Amino acid sequence: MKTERQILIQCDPNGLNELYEKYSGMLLGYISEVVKDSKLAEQHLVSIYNHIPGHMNELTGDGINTWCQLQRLTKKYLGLCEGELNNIKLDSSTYGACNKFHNLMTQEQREVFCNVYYRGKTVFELSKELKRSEDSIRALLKEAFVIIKKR
Amino acid sequence: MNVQQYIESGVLEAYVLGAASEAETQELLSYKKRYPQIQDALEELERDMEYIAEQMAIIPPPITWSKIEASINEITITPDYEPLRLRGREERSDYYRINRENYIEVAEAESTYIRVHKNWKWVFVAVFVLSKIFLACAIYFYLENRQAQQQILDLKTELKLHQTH
Repeated sequence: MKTERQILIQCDPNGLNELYEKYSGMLLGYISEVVKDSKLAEQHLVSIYNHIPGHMNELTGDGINTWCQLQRLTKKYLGLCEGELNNIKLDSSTYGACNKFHNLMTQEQREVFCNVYYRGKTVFELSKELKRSEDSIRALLKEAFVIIKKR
Repeated sequence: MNVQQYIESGVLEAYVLGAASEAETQELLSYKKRYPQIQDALEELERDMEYIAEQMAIIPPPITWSKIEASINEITITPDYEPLRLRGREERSDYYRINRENYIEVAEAESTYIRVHKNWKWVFVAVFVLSKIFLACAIYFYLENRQAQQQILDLKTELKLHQTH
């Protein structure tokens, strides 16, 4: 008897492979930065790709950016493993050590960007945590993206 | 509504990073349909997100895909298919241009593996054929040489017999 996942994959058996070929490197890089453990990151990558067949329609189609959707799915999945993430102390300077953008950002911009990008925190959560207005958090995010655009 | 002011507010960045509230998300999605500038800005940000991820990409070990396949326990006959239409990747720099179809993955164990380009297949075939030719030549010349040695030996014996007579 076939599982639901098997049936879904049989409907589009190469879709998953194509997603793997295009995004697995980006996803592994992202997860590695989040969990700071290459073995664990690979395990998460395998688990996430096992979950993808059930979300295939959310990842592809007109007007959908596959990578952004995939990253949202990953954040959601990693949120389920929050216990692991909570054990990792956030230090924005350790994130993306090889990421050239981070070095161009100010401490505030980097802190906001890293908390949102790697820890999946919302603007509301960060505004409470950093005791700043939501508008200023959004402005810092905007500035961080301006720096990335300049690359 | 001042569209430019809205774009500059940082709401779009919060949205693409998944940090916007539900109300902001709904508002943005409705504006996106109404204002093409917002749609364009959002698409640009999504491409930026891809660019950031590309900069941090780590190529997974070749065995990873096998692990995924194994865990799904998929045993299917692959039919002809149309490739997925994945948006936003084409115009960006490819973070890695490794076309997996061009590679043979030889997995010896989980921790040790080699990755060989398919072009090497013809080199291996040529080496194999040449080795067979050399082997045949070696056997041929060995036999020839043995025969010649035997003839020399026979001639020497004959010569010695002539000399004694």
